[in-house]
Amino acid sequence: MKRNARIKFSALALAVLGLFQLSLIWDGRLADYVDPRQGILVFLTGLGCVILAQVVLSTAGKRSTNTVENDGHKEDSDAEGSWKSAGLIWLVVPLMVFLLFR
Amino acid sequence: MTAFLDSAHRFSVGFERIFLETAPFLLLGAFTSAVVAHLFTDADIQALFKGGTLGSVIFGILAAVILPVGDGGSALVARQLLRKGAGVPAAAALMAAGPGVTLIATGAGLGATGMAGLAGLRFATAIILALVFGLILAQESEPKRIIKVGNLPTVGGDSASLLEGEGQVSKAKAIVLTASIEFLEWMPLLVIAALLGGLLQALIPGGWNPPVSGSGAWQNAGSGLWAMLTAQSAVGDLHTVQNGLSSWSAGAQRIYLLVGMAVDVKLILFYGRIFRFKVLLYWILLSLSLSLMAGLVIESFGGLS
Repeated sequence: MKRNARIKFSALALAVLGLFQLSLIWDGRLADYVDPRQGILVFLTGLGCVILAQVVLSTAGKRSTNTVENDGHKEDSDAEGSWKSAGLIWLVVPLMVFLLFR
Repeated sequence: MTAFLDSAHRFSVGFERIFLETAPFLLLGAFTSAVVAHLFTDADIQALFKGGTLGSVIFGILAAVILPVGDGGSALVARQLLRKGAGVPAAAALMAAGPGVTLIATGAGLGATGMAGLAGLRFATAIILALVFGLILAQESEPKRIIKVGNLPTVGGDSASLLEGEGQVSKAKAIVLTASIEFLEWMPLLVIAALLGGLLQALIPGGWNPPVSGSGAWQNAGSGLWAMLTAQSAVGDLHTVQNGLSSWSAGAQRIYLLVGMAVDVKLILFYGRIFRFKVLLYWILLSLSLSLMAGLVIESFGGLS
């Protein structure tokens, strides 16, 4: 289940990142950091991250179902496979900088 | 205390600007890379990007114009092309030209009032840079001496093991998953670049920020340094220069756009993930000297009209 948990964590990280970007537009703070004319790019990225999170999460849900059906035989076999998201904790940094130094 | 708060604010603005401006291009690059991974066979890619040297470099530049791969996103696509067997010169040309010639940056330049000349100059310089860089790399016959082969994505578009055991999965879903993985894989580099850029912006003296007072050479140097530290996207660069049209010297505007397109904190980190240190050094020296040369040539012809 280790990899499944990592996938869910990745989805969460993507969703937080997307919502963070959308919230900057929502409260108008985006203009403190970038030219407002780039708002559309930031908006689309935020939206894209949220959609990605949803798709990744749905994959995790499907995997859970498959695991129950298959009695969990293969789930942990390649837990350290090519799912290269070990650095996900980095996504917290932009939020921390925003909150600490705003 | 006030000085600390001022530095903290500069760090915060610098960090968030780099992060927010680059994230869209990184996401676009991740999607493009995923599409290349799942919709094109190795043979397709090799047919386009592995022919005669000059031809493949030109194809690389054309791909950079067509694909939305500016500012960091081009590094992801170049890496995917290399994994699929593209020649190093072609992938390097795509990567180098991407920030300056991508449709988003070009469109923003043409759409911004009074910026068409500078945007055109950046477009032309990006093509020349990519061409020269590609042809220089073509002299090396052993790719392992140029690129870090260990950092290329795995076969199957990175989502192969993730999707294992799920039976038939639609290509669209595989593309989305691969894009997510690539985006998250490169995110730490972006955060490190933003931290580094933000920190350096907070530390350098305020008088070094453009518009710098003093001789033309000093203004150009300040502008180039600021372009490297702010690491703005190709679109953000244009807006910054446009906002400073009246206060920046013409040379400082050119240097900011040309250096910012080719060498900045995030691009050095991104390119360093693919290329060996020696090649990275060649790239930095080449882009700085060509930017300087382009500025001198334009100056000798009386500037841009």
